[in-house]
Amino acid sequence: MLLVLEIESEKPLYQQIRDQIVEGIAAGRLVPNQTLPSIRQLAADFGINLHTVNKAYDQLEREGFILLRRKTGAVIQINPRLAEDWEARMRTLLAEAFAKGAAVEHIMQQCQNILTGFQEQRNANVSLTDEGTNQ
Amino acid sequence: MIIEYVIPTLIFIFIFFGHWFMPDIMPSTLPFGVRIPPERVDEPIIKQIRQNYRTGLLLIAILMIAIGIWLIIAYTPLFINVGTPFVAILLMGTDYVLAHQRLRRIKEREGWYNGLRQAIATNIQAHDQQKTRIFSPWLISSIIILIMTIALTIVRYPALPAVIPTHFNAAGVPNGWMNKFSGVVSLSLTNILITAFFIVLIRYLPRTRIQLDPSNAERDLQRQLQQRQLVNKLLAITSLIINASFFFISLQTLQILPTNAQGGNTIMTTIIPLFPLAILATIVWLIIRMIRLRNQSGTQRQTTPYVLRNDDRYWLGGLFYSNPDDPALFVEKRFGIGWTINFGNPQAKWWILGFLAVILIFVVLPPLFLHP
Repeated sequence: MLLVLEIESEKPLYQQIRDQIVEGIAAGRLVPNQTLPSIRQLAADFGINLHTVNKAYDQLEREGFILLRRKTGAVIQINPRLAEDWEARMRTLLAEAFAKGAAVEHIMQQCQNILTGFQEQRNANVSLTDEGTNQ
Repeated sequence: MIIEYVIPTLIFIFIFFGHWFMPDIMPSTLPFGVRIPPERVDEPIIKQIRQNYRTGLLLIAILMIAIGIWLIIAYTPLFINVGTPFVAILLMGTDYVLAHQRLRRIKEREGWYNGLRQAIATNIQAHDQQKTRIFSPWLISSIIILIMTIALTIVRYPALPAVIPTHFNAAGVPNGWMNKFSGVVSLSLTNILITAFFIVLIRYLPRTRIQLDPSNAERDLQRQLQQRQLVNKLLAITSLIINASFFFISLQTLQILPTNAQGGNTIMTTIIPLFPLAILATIVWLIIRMIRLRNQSGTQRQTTPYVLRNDDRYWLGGLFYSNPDDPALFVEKRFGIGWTINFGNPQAKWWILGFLAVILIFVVLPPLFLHP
């Protein structure tokens, strides 16, 4: 799975890593028990500070997406409980659209599209891995 | 006598063509070690700088050959023997740095990166996708030859005289002797250390960084994976050639081969020069394969708004890399094949001291054990 970090983005680098890994899990490009590169390896591949990757991995662990182990590095492991502030963040995001007068149907449609997209990608990725194991 | 001309001349030719073809080997988004966006690879100024660089190389070569010939006629051939490769690398390297500085100034003045979204990229599974094996058939053969050499040394040791020849001139006539214990140990130890060095390099290779160009990430990944396979092969083959040459040198120091009246051996004088030639041929093969690989992977920007970030400020003259934020210790060179050290890494100074120590050991120790 490709990770792309925009250097001059307003979003900090660690946040970009964290977001892309979460979206990778949603789309099935990353699956439970799959290992991620070690902090040192990923930082070296990007050529960025260790602390940046460390911060991203730390956050992912706190949020229940990965498990950090001393020896094997990071492993995808999903804790099904949603983050406490997940609803609050969604609330703010929906408020942005609603405040601008976006129609409820339109907002709901957008949500539906995004979720269907994740589901379709996940199905595609699953069938791809099945083909891989059959070969 | 002839070999004292031939080897430096071959090295000189190799250095010249190495510099000549280097712009073809390096990625087209890194002309003369300057990072440029993909849409600029066909800028006419790059072509012009390349022409000037090559004119410079030709002038340097002609000048050096003229001075070399004059020195041979007027003084002694010793000058080309010792100095040639160093002077050639220094002058041709300067030619490169000048081309680098010129292109970099133009790029910055014209703002080639203005309005582009710069990014860095990698693939999470990149390191797992590598198909390089540590113990390839080449490396295994190399280790088998090492074991054969050591076994032969142990078997022959009791039968050797107290003092054995360890250094030979071009005609295969011995001109340096050691007492047999230090002679045999230093030769075997050098052989083992060199093999170990190659195994460490081959082992470390898959862990070096895989940074991708976000404008064409998939193709870039494939190119880098194939390039790694090539370098893996090159290292193993070089190790094999070196160990084979140690094997033949052992045949002579262990006095297994018959010697002629002068104490020389005609088989050796024909075989030994073949080994450096074989290594040169392997490197030339690698260069040709790398050019082909580079030409296959296009520079076309895929459907992405990003280009690889302009990281020139971490590269001094396009030669030396220093980035304290970057945890990588070894990074791919921008001019030449291989890796260079990240001088910004706190570990770097220990590695440099280590390299210097190894060189010092190989230069200082052998003469101490030489028998007059």
